[in-house]
Amino acid sequence: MVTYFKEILTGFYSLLAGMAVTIKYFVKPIVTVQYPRQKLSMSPAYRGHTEFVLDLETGTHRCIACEMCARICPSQLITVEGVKIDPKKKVPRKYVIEYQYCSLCGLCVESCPTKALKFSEEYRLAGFSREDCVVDLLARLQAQQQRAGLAVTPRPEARREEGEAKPEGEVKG
Amino acid sequence: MGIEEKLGYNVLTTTLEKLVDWGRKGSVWPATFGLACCAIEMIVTAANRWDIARFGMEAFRASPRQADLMIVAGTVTKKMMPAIERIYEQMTEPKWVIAMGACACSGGIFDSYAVVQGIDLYLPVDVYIPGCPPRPEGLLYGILKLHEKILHDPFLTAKYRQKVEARQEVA
Repeated sequence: MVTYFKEILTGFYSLLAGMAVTIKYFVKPIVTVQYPRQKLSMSPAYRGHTEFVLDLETGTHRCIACEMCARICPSQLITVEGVKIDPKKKVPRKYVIEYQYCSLCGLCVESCPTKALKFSEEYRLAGFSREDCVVDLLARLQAQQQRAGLAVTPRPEARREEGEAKPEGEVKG
Repeated sequence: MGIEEKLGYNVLTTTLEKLVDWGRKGSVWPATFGLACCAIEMIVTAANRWDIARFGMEAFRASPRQADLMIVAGTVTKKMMPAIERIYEQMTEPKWVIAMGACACSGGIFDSYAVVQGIDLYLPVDVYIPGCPPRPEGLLYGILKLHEKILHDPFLTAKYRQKVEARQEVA
């Protein structure tokens, strides 16, 4: 009779001992991030695609279209087209990265002489085609400026060929 | 072919299609295989912090016969390609493909004779997730995009036949 109850007790104890880890985790707080409804903020070390630094002094980007980033990129995914807006200043008319090739090595950010680039915190980049992964940095900057309530940097006109007639009434630039 | 020829795009078939698409969306089982470093992020996505089970995808199937989704996570070498093609062909319809990471999307940094320049040269990719590697959130976002696509995926009605015809014309 005594052995019978002893067996029940030891059996119950071994059950509790065996499930100790389960019980411990049952009362601990949940670690799962409920992703679409709850989002983690990215750590400063996270690298999304590159974007222009929004210079708060000038309210615009610092890119001078020198194409250092395009030249150093190991995958040659950066397309920069610069245009001279006055004899001493050049700005990008087009700055497009084909992010599907990017391995986030950071050489473009490192090589930039004016520190115009940084890594964004964007991670929602999936698309239905390869073309969806192409990022236009100027358009992104314009959207950023609009959100911040700053003056939007206009996209400069394409450079005209020498000798081509200019439209009337245009300011020389 | 069969009864679908005569059904057209009417109330019964469209409603059935919506129901089945909703069901398919809720239980996309991925095939278990990883090719390179992106696979680590895929494994993390399946682990408890991000918990892919919330989307009905916890069963990573070791057999391609039971899998619906192929997450191509990582660099695909030319030598690996026959194996991947075989896995894809062994999967039963309906099946989807996610190209995860820069290498699977386009070959990425490996512009070389040994690496496939994008898995879409061989397989019909549904969702591309760029990044090197993408965050688990990035993968989950891609999966949600795929869910969107599955929800509007015709398989029974006239729309499906149009899709198949269009595909044949391209080929």
